[in-house]
Amino acid sequence: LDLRLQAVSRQLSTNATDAALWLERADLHRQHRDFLAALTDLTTAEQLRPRWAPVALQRARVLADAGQLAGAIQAASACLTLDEGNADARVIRARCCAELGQLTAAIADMDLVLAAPVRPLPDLYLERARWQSAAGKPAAAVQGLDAGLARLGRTPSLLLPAIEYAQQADDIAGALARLEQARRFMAGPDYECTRSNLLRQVTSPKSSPPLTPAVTPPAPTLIIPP
Amino acid sequence: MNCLNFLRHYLLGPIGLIGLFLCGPDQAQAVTVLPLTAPWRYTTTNLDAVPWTTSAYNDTAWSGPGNALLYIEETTLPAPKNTALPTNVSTSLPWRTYYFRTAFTLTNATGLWSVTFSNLLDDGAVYYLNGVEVKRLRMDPGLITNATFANTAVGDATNYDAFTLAGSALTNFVEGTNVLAVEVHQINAISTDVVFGASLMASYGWPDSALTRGPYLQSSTTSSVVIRWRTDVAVASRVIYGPNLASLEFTNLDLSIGTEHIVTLTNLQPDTRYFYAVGDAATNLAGPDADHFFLTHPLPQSTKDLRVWVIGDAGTKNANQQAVRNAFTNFNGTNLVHAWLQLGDNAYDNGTDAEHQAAVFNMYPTLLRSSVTWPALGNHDTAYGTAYVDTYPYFDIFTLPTAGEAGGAPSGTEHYYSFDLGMAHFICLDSMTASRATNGAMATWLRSDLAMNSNRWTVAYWHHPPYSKGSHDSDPGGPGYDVQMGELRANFLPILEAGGVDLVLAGHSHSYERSYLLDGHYGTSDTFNSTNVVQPGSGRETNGLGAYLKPDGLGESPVGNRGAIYIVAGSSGQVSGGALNHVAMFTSQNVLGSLVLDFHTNRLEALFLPTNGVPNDWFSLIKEGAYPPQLTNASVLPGGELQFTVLSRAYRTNIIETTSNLLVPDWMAITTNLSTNAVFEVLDTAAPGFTNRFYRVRRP
Repeated sequence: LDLRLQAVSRQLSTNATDAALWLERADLHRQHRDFLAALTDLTTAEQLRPRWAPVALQRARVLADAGQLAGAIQAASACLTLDEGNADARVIRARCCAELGQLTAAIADMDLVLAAPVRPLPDLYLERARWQSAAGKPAAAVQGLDAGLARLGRTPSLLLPAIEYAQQADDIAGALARLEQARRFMAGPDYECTRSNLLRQVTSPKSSPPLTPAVTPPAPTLIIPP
Repeated sequence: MNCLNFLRHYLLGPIGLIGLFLCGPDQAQAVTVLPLTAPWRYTTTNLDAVPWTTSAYNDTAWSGPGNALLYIEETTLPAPKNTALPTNVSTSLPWRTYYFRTAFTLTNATGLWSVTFSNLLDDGAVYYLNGVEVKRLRMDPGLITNATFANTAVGDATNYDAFTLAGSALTNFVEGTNVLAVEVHQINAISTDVVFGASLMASYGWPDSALTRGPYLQSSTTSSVVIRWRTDVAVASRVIYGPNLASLEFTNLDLSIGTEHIVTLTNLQPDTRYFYAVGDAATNLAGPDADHFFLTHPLPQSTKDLRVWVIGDAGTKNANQQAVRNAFTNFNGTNLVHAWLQLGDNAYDNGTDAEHQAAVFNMYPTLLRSSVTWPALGNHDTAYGTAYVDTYPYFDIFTLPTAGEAGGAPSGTEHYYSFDLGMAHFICLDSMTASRATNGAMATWLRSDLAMNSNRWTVAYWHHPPYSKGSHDSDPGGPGYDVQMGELRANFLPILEAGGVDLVLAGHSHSYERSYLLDGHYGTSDTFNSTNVVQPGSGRETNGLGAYLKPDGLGESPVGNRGAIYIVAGSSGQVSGGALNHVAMFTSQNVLGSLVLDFHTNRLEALFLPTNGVPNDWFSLIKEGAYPPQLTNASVLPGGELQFTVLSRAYRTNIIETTSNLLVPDWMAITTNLSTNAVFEVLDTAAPGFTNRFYRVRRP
């Protein structure tokens, strides 16, 4: 990172009017967590190329990393004004909103990102499900993860959380059905423990203490002499 | 009937194929029939239910003609902005939909091979030729009306959208005047820009194509492989293949036209060598010969010997990279390479397509056509970008498993994946862009992938090393520290070690660093202590404490937390020094080279191969189950005591027993040895007075 930073700085010393170079250096400063330097470079880039969406996007990234969530949301929105389909800006805005507890706005942004035809990454479905669950909508979380599974294939990254959210939504049958689908992705004790807990929830109130994971037999001892 | 028409009309069956090869290629010719700056008539009137796309429709009441590009756009575009389009006066924004028509003349329509459209477009469009729809760009299937929006936004139309019509899609082209009608749709009602322009190039006859990349092998399994290559002009894709070079019995033909060729061969036999050739519809461009072959993977239960080559940070495109490659080529000779891993930074400086061409495809052409490469994403492959997206050239270049098709759990993404290669399971993580949180998708997937794994050997690899004191220090605050190093160490090593990983490979630091057999070290180097060392020493059978030893899963899940070897192998293209003093490492070297892994049933042999071709580090990792101890070098001492040597395994309990009568044995223990060494001496002080004394050594 340092070498790259030096290289870009050298290029800027001979070509200070290239907005893309200022933008690149801003991102390198961001990765270095030198947010002030990053913002300064972005200001220069913006002066050289006003109303350029990548500058607003980068500003959103910097501010988000710096914990300036409101500012990041503002910058991401500015980016979206210039480039309404910018998925990166929308994801940043969604995450910042979620951190600020604005879950409805976060979910709405992520809905738009996931509705795009570009193949999304599993994490985006997972994040939205977490926000939906936190917003008291675990059934929507399950539905969203199911949509992800339909689109990305049956990855355990989405299937296993879907069990948890179905359980939260009191959809024990749905949770058990998904558990069976996920069985090959789970260690035996984890599967048995989850299943036992789900079956207990069928007959017992939610307040029943969950079972702890089954104890795995101890591994053979390797004796290391002193 | 010329070859083209023969192809068009009869290619559906084997007779067509035979005829095709007899014909041979025609001379190709390309003609621009519609330039990008051609004039178009246009309107914003709602034309729902109006037959405006037909040749007979009268468009003289429309605006124009105006030369393309037609636009409402502030940004500079790759072609002249010639005709400003009207906005909606009530909103001052562009209209939702714009309609365009133009005409062009085509001669020799029956001899057409393909027509390529190159478009500058913002946002989506539907194309009609002589009244028939021929293409949609960024528009959903189904009914299109004036109110329909595009499905994907284009920030600015700074890149060309190209597509090619060929085969049956050419049916609607006519000799003489053709009418092209296009409707352009906005992404939404508040979009501020719109751009349209298109050029058409007609190609006659089969083009003479040439390889510009590959062939290269991807994503092999026990029953399939992906073969990829690139040509200089758009042609069809064909692979002929079979286990017998003298008579390749199978053909896979894809008549879609393109320069990027990706052919998946299926229904293959496991653990089999297939020879192949790639080409366009008529001509072989590479192979068939003894150098063009692929190996399907052995079944997971197999004990087939395997060789894997590992390079890290190789993509310098310079003499260093060549020297490392040449050292391996010479070392390997004619041995099969079942897989080769690239640990990231495969193409300096920014992982562009051109840099991949120079650093990968031009550098390893021989290996690429006979061995499958499995890459990991490095910081240079994303041009330092940390955005978790699929838009890096890396993802266009490589075809990686997402659905568990090569073994392991489906990841749903090419960022991280796993595959089975015979008795070994390989796990590739994305340390650069994917979430490194313990509750992120990658960590969840990894737990499942390990839970499913019952292979004897497990190897994990990614770019950023968890332990290094090379050009990147894995301790926060150290020179060149990157947050990925600490996060992978803290969040992913516990998962991997619990899952029984044997080897963890990384690059990033441009050095070679190799650890002892370790477990449970997830902090900074100053927290490392002897409890993290499962077994010290070199791991070499011939000296010191002998080979590293681990219990075998014996067909079940690997036994967790019994030690893993951590290797930084990032010196395959350059060396960059560093303190090279990480306490977890048995050896640390500022030396160019690569890593060679040989799997022999319950034994893994690894060696570091510098450019001089003489390995300067090596170790063995052995899974218990075989390898019995031996007694040797017996001698009688002057007092009648008997002394002998036991060759055993370090850290194993050995009970040495004796009897004086093998016919009616009464084995009695004379010592129980807890050995830290693979070689130890036993003295039988009770031996004097016996005529015969028999010994055995066994494990409790």
